[in-house]
Amino acid sequence: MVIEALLVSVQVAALAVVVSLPVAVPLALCLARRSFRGKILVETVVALPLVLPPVVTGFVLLMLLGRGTLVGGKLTEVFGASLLFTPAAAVLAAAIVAFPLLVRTLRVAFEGVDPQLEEAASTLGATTWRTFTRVTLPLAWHGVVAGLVLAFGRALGEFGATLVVAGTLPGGRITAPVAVYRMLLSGDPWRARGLVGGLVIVALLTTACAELLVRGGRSRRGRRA
Amino acid sequence: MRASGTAAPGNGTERATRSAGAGRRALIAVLLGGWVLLACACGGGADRPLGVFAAASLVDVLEELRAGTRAAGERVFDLHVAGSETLLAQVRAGAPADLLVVARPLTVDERPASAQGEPRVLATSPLVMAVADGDPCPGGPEALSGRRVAMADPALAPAGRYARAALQRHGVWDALEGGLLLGRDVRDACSWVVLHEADVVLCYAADVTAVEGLTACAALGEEQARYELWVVAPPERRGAARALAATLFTPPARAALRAHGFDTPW
Repeated sequence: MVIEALLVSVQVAALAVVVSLPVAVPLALCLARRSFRGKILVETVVALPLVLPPVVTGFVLLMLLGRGTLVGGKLTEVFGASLLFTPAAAVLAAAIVAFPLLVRTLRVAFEGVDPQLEEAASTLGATTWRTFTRVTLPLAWHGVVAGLVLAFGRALGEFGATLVVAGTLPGGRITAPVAVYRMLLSGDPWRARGLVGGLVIVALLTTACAELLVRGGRSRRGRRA
Repeated sequence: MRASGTAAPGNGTERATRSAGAGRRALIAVLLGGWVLLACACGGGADRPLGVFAAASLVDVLEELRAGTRAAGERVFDLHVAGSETLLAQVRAGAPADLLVVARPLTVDERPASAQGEPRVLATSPLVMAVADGDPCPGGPEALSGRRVAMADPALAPAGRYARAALQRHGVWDALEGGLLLGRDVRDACSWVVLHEADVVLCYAADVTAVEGLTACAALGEEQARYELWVVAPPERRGAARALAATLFTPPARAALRAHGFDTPW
């Protein structure tokens, strides 16, 4: 039970970060590099899941993904079943609550890169993609890693929205926070201590890995300098 | 074209280009792979196990029955527990529930569109006053003033509504309302008494059996939880759902329910 719930949580959180990246990276770059009308509105909408109680985010998702709604109805037609209480719903819930942290950290990381270096790369004939992968990303790497870890950690601990849209996944699998909640509901809340300890260990390992990666990046840059 | 270094000439440049291309393909593969996995995770609704959506206080007994079906090699059901109001919202939105067990009778307007026929009462449990083991019981609801009283929030859980109705019937609601400790659910309120944050909790008799460290005092009267079981499965799963519902009304299920402090009016 403990290992299974931890594995489900780690898988859901990792997938949530991966599916967020293709949206988060361009959005963070855009917010870091461009000024446009409505930027404040975009920033506000992006930050919304950070401010809203997760259970409200879950409620909004429930209303969006439900069979009776336009979006949920179409998705149900496409996939042949409601998305609610599938791993996809758990990933979506985790991705949405982790998204603001990912975008904000990526944005700060990209803002720290000198735009003149990117302009120099473009002048030398590099495409936008090549400039991003060979100049921006290496220079912003430690911030990007910090963003990934923060988003992973937030997704790992997601509970409120997950309980509403994916409280139990097929096969009776549940995420670690939902499992802790169930154990607290039961007559013997001390059953949760193993899982709580497991979550603490996973969180510690994640943070330690991120710290090592960031330090490694710094020391490499230091040697090159 | 690294920002912090210069590209090597000749073969080195080709290697760097090849490596950049491979890195780009790997990155794209990871990102696309994530979305493909997500799309795969959307399907598989048709053959998923039967889903039982049940009120939170039934968690122990239904986990036990679920473990029993697993041990017997029978088809295991998925169990989802939450407050009754949350469950209703989830089922109405199309959550894959086949059986729904809520802790109170539903009005005609509240019944999910997928609900079939009339409900069966799976279990009942009277509302009681309870204290931490060794603490003195209050003589009755009238003796609650001056004590720290915990109960579920009436806005969130049927247990809270029953408790409010009982206190109103005994004419002590107005005096107690300002000082009540309201939990998200009844088990929250029970834990506060066990931790001595409150003196008395208004909960179901089954909660007293489930939560270690609680002693039941007098019942509060007519109020009781009434766990109604509804078949809410879509047409193609209705037969299997009814068969599963029937297994919850067998002697072993009754024994399990009673062992967890529930009454079985069947």
